[in-house]
Amino acid sequence: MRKEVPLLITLIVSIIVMLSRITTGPVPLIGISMPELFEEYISPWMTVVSAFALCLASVNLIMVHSGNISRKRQEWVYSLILLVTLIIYGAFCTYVELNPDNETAAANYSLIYNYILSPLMTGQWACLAFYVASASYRAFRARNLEATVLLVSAILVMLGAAPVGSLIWSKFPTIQQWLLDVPNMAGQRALLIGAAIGSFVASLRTMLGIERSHLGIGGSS
Amino acid sequence: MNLIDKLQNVDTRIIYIVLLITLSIPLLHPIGIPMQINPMTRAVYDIVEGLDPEKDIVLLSMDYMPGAGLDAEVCPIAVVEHLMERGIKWVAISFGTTDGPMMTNRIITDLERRGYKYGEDFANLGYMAGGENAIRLFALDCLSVPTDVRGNRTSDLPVMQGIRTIKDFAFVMQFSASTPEAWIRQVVDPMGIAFATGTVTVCVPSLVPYYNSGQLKGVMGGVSSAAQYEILCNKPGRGASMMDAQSMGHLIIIFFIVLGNIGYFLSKRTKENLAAK
Amino acid sequence: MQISTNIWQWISVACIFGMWSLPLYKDNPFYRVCQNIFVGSCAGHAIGIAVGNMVKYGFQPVIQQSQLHLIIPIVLGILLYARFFPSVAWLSRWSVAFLVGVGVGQAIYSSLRSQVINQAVAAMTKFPGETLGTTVNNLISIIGLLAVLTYFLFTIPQTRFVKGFSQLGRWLMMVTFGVGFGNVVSGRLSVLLGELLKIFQDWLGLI
Repeated sequence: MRKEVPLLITLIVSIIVMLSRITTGPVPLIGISMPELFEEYISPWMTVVSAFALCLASVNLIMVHSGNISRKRQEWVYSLILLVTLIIYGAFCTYVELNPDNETAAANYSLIYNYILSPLMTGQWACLAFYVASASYRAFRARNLEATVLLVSAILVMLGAAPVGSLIWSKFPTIQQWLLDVPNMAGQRALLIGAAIGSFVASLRTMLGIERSHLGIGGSS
Repeated sequence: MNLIDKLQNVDTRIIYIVLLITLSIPLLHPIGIPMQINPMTRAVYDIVEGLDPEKDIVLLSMDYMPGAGLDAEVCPIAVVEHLMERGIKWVAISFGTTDGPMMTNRIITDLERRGYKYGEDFANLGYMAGGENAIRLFALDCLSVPTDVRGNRTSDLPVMQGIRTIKDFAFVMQFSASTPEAWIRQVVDPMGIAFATGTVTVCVPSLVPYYNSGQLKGVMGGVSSAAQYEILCNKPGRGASMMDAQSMGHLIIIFFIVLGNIGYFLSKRTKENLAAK
Repeated sequence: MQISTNIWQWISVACIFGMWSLPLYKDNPFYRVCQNIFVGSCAGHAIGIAVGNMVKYGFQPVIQQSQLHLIIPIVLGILLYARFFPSVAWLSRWSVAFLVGVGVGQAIYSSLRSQVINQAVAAMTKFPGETLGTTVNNLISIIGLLAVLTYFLFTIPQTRFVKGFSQLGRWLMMVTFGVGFGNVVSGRLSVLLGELLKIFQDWLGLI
């Protein structure tokens, strides 16, 4: 029961969703068409369940860091800072969401969002530029012919994409555009097709219950 | 330590400082290098230019987060400026990230300060959970979002009058820090709507097949596309001001690559000579 | 130079420098504090938006519009949290099964149509082109597409032709990844530039 019911749910729901694209007429014995079943029931249900799923990671975070604080593990002070921040933002954002006509609360939340959360996130992502520079210097080596091809195409794209490239040689932007539109497109299209076929196969396996790892049952049958 | 070893072992922090200085100087003293317009960016501009302010309403899916930085933020700002200049109404919604409504609010706050009216010229419908499924649900019934971020009933908003399904929008554009496959799968191919995307520079190569096949009518990729769009609109903004520094950044990265490889080949030759002896 | 007197601008720049202190200096308590505030604030924001969605799309329609069928997804949503209680953790599988079922149903139909069929049709119908240049480019695209696909076929006999063709695919992928890396560099630099612009323009007033 504990394994079979979830597999049955996956099979039935996926069949309804799939058939909602293909069929139009009413299903015998049920009296409602698959598209209607999907639009009236399955789709709104998915929105609600997804909303509950959004909080899962945050709840896990609360449990882990609460454990750190209660057991006074190493660097528990940072866990305390994390939890206090989480509670402040969580409470404030929840209040704003449930009271959307309170413009003052919304404006104040925007302040802590735009001047604390946003620069922290952007500052973190901006560090990637430093790491790209460091990786370009330390790791990007033309060890063989293939790596050289990769390196040369990267340099040509960088020279073509930036306005200074056209100052150095007027053909750089044309070369960059050609690299993007022809060989890159061919490679990307092939990767796209391959990934889509792989996704289709994985979806079919999941639908038929051959792949069960998403349920924590373990591996494939 | 000889020169070859020094060449291969420059302190990482020195690299970071050199990068910061190289980027800062052109920001403070712009050079004004002219830039060429990418056909994918021009395609988006032409679509917006061809819209009718009397009857066309645009849907903007704001699916980027602040972490993507100005690379994601300048594109929607440029497009919204163009829409407001032409008097075209727009509606924003978010499916891909919970940060979308806050990013939209930044743009709306600035527009309201300049005298535009929320609800009449634009609206923010907030975030709808469910990902790809939510996109399809909204496409089939736009009133499945009951209220906007300010608590107004969606059906009562002046800008939403006459909008029932996604086909009632003249043009749909998604701004994200990733690729628009969900939109293409759920809405573009089944319903045949005019759709374009604004994304970060990193994702542009993977979108070229979709532009080539016609599934995407236009692609804006990051700061350079936004700068080109600003120039097409004759309103240079943050995007255009960053392009000189972007150029210098590219040159310094190429310099680091070449420097690293010079050190690598010199040390390789030295080792081979020593081995031969 | 006109340094901003807005306290929020100073807080914002302090946050940026806090995050940059790791690569530019070393691991330090200021960076750790900023990192934990970042994680906590993102998680808190997600909770707020999630609760808003739960009420807007779940509880309000049940209470105000008597859409009682929405009780089922509300129960499924609550069951997701059963995973934190070992004795009833198996109940969360029902919710996950529902989520996965919808995703899988969407993927089976739409990925084949949009990403395989439409892309294959586009590759074939673009050839030949209007001019000689376009025709040559489209020919290169088709050959490149087939070469890369051949590279990933591991279950066919590797004859001399297949091996050579897949090697061509490998070369093409190197160009694809090189183009990708060029764009990655461009994109990452843009994010850093955006922060520098905020520091010089919004905080220091130098631009």
